[in-house]
Amino acid sequence: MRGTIAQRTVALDGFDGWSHEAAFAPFAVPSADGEADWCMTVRVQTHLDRPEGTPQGRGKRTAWIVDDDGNGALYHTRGAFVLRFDAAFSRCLLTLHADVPDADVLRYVYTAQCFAYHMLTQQGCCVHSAALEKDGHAILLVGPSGIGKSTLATACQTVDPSVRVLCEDLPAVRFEDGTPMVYGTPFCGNDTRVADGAARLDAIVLLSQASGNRLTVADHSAPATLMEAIPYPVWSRPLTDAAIARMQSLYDTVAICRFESDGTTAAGERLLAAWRADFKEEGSPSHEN
Amino acid sequence: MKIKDGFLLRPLADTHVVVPVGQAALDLRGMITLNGTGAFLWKALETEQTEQALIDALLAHYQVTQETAAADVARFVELLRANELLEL
Repeated sequence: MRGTIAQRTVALDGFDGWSHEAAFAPFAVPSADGEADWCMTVRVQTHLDRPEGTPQGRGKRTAWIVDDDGNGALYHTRGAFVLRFDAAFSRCLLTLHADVPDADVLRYVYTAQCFAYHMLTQQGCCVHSAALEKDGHAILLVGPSGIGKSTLATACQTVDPSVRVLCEDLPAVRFEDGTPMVYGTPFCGNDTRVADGAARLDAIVLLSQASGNRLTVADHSAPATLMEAIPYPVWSRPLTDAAIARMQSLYDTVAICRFESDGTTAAGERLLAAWRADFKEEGSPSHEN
Repeated sequence: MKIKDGFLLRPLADTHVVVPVGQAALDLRGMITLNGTGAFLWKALETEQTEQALIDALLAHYQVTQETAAADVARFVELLRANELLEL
């Protein structure tokens, strides 16, 4: 038993002028021109049967398949829903079982994934991170969920109220004439502090928890950490290649460092001080306070 | 022996990374980081090779002794084998 319950189109006409209020316009504004640069069609269906061919999970949240036409798909490991992309990542098809408990969350998660893949085709990428902005410049706090990105963002804002949060989940980075620019996106998690705008990316801070605050230059394990934060479709060789190319561009243009944070105001002070110094002082092996 | 299909070897920063794509991504989540010598051997193994051919290639490209090259190749191949990255 199948039936289409909604069909909506998303128009994201570039980045300028996005606002948090517009964040979920993808699901509210049926307006778009199919030729727009930033266009995703989300078709939501319900069905009662597990999709044929759904692979078993491998301990991860999602698995994937690719069909003969080069289209990829992500599957929830329990087969509860599926998001299917066309080969150009300009459309996605989200299919939900009727008993999915929170369809809005699923739409958010998987539309964000589709958006991130699409960014790879647009001289950009998304980075799972918190994006902080000050005076037209930005840094990304990168780390797994729960590591303390929001806590550190709050600490920075406590120290300096002019620091703004552009996005706390999936900001986009786009290279414009070789300059990396960070944009807030509709995918901001639950945060209500996010500010509209864009800023030049100065640094990527790979975050970990510690009992003190310590900033060091990124080591050889940094590429793996960063790659974990950039969503890319593993079934697509060109877009996986694009993700690696974006990482190289980031390495070429911004400071990349590690920060052990205790999440206190002192951590915010330490990070902001390094930012004011353009992270140049981190050329030495380590700095502690 | 050769490396299984489905991996991208790319230079990144001051190192090299290997990222699985396609079917290989089901078997290996994440990525591999290689130094210059590792990348050299990996690239060679994208086509069918013997251990002796790899040793000869190292000797031709690097200033190392036969013993060092043989030990390094053996260790690298064993690592690949242990992680099921080789078609044997």
